[in-house]
Amino acid sequence: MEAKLLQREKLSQLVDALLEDHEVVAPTSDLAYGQIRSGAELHLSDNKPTQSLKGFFFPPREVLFESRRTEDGLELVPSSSSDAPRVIVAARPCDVASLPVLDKLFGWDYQDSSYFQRRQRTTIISLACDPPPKDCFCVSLGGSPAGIEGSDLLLTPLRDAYHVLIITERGKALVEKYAQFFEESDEQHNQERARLEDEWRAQVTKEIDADRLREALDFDSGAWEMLAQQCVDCAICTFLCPTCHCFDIQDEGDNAHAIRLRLWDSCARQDFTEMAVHQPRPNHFSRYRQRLMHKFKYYPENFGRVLCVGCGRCIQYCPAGVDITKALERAVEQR
Amino acid sequence: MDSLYLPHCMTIKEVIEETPDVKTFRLAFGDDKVKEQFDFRAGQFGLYSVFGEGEAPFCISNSPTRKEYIECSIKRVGRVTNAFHELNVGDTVGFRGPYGNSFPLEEMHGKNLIFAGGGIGLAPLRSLIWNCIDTRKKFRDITIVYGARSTADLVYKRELSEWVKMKRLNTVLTVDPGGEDETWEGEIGFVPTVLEQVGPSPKNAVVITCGPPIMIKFVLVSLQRMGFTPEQVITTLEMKMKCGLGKCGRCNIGSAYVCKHGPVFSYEQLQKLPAEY
Repeated sequence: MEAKLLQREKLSQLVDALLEDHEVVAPTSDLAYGQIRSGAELHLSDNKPTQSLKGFFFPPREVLFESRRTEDGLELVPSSSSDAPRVIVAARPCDVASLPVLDKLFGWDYQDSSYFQRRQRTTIISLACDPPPKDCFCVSLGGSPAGIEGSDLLLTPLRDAYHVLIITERGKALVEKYAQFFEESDEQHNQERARLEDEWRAQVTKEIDADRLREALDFDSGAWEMLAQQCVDCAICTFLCPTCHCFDIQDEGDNAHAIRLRLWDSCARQDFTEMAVHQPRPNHFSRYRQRLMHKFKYYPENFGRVLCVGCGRCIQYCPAGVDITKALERAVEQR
Repeated sequence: MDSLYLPHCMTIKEVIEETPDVKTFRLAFGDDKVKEQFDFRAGQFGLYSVFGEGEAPFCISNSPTRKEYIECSIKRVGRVTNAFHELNVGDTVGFRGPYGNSFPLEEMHGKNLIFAGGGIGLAPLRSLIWNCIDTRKKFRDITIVYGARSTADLVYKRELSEWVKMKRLNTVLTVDPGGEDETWEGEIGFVPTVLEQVGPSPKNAVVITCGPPIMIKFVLVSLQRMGFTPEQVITTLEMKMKCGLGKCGRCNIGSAYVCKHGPVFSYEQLQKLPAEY
């Protein structure tokens, strides 16, 4: 793969140049990614943002259309979403790796146009995790602290510069357009990048055995009730998860003027499957089981890959200290 | 590309009060081009909406052989269904679909068909029943056993009396004990019991059943006693759904999504899925 170098101080200059004809999204604090208006707003930290990138492709609250009563009857106005070119800078490789996972779902027979429009208009420059945060388990799921899946360019911090790996044609076009910021990378730099990636991969010791789980996770296991006792049913893991994608559709307004919204929802919530006369998942453990089995059995059965990238947020932010890697182990051990 | 979630605007042409809490809505497409292109199969469903109140899934209850309109029968149980019940002829509602799989019509050709329905569960069966009546030569004997709690709770009353009179159709109506009135001429008893009394043979037969879970449970027991195997029994499931497109994540039974792999399943298929429906 082709590579370049970008001097450290030039990253914010590159962002300023990108801003001339792109929207730019980057970490703005330890809390979240956000739209930035200057290279100086770029927040580079050892901590991965609490919130993942998914909201930039699948917003937490999205207006689908507006309904208005007019003299001629009812009018539906589809909401328009921007197609302005956008660059995401310093994305975590795990957040980016979640996008090809979500593509499967949003493209399953029916193409979700607003999601794919956002995918289409976005170029992604990832930044390798140096050092990898402690709750991560990306490596066991095929990822890496310097993973490239879903990225157009990958920046790896070397001693004095960023190594820039050119992954896609789109990434190549960006490097060519902004050629003044980049320098040639030599074999020594390429080797250093590879050495660092090996070093970081070795630091990611938490793991999940996805192949075993797919075979061994059992709906009828007696372990689910016991495991669910540790969970406080707050759903925070599902909202912070870059791959959880369940949503609700609701109307706001009245019959004269209303909007139909798509809102993030969570399988952990009791009303998620509750109907007026029927509730297929009436208890806490059945919802807990659904979340884990969806990720590691049902999704792989439908799409050939797990619904998890190993970012570790569900471990890091769980108020009850649930570690999904350990919970899964127990789920298949104590059958 | 248009949003998947943008419905067609439909005009209510007729509202039929089926029971004290069920109304059937006959909906016409506002756009002639959409109407011409619209096609569906018996067993498929749609997402119907009252703007400002919300959207909910219901089956398409008319037959594809009579697709001038879309008909849906809605029981008043929650926010969206209550909003539907407040609507009148001329009002506009939303419809998107058709979604999901359908009854395996071609596999039913040349077979004896037995319909076992209860309450509002007749709605999806009605689509298939009219489809079969309109292409009657393709099927052998057709038996319909339909019941409700009381005579007032029977849906499609006009059509039921039509079916009872039809020649090559054996229609048996029943109400739960105590649900009859002075003029009732049908059976008195629960659907599974009446089904056993009617006693259709399992030979070269398919059963299509839909109704309250408790009815289905005992219909299955009866059918087993009568010699039917799980692959001969077909049903259609109801689940909470928001998208109807396999994306919102709530109607799955294991890895099967009711909105995509269903809503029509055979009991043989359901036996292989987790018991979470």
